[in-house]
Amino acid sequence: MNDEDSKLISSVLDGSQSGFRLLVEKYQRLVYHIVSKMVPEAEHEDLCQDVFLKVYKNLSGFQQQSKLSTWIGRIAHNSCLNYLEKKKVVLYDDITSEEQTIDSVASDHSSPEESALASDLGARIRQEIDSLPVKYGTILVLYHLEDMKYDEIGTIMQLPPGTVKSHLFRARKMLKDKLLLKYNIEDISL
Amino acid sequence: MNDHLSDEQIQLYLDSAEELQADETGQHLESCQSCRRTYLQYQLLAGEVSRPIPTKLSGDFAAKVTKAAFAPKTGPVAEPDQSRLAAWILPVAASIGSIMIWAYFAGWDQFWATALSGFLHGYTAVTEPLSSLRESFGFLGDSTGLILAAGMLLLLFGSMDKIIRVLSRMRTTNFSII
Ligand SMILES: [Zn+2]
Repeated sequence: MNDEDSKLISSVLDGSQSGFRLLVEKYQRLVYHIVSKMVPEAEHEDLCQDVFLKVYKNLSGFQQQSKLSTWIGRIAHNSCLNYLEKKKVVLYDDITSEEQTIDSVASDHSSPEESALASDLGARIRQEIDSLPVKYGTILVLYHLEDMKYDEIGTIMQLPPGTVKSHLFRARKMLKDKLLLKYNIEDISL
Repeated sequence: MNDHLSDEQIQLYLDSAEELQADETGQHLESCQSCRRTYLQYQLLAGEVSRPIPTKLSGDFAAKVTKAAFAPKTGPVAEPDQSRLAAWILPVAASIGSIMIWAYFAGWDQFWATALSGFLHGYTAVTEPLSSLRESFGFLGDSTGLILAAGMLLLLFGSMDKIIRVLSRMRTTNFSII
């Protein structure tokens, strides 16, 4: 674990409010990335807050040999799973049956206005990511936006690194095929 | 040039293009338009997926969470349960205790001693302390004995409630973080 995180943790354990605030500021993007891919938008703020309250409560038990980012990421992922379990959303069915896999919960909220706004390729791609199975969307975000390695993503999502890799590859292929199918092929070919 | 690259090979190249610049995959991509097209589609896709998502949390999110985390725990933690318990258990226990003591002074000790001797180690062990108690307080008579005993017990059980509260408050203080 890096020095900066060690110092942050010590200061929080010493009761520093500003230290905890820095920690939240540093990791709120990571937590948001996970939460926004897994649960409906209306729950994002509350769930993100819950995650950081759990981080605060359990920080003294954090094993310093692991990375703070993956530890926090795992708390966020588990909190989302608990939320979905309470709402009785079945998430991790056999993901290989792609047609049957439940589409993203997070995409439930996308409004007609948002669809209309999806004029540029970036917005279209983000819409398509939201329609991927939740697990795929989460892996894509952690890999491409958080620059995490397979084993770090695996720690957060409790998956073997090899499975993370195969999910990532399949997610990107699905995304590419969907876009090619849905839009004029010339739009995304160069 | 008969075999095209697999999707996995192209994606592997995408993730580690810099390290693999000169390898076979790279050479194939240079010369094969079909595979290069797929590769460029992936590259475009990866570029778009890597664009930051705007975080839609409230502007003062960190401050809000910090405030919530450091807010003092308000209100005694386990008190409601204990006072509800005290509300009915203690008077009931005091009543039963008073009746038992009254029964003893009214001469029902034979009955109690017989009943208890089943559980204890003998008749005398039970009756001896009881008898000496009657010798000391017997002069008060039946009704006075009853009132005194009931009063003492009610006082004891009544303050038990407060003793429990004080003890639990001491415990809660020890556990709080700040
Ligand atoms: Zn080829």
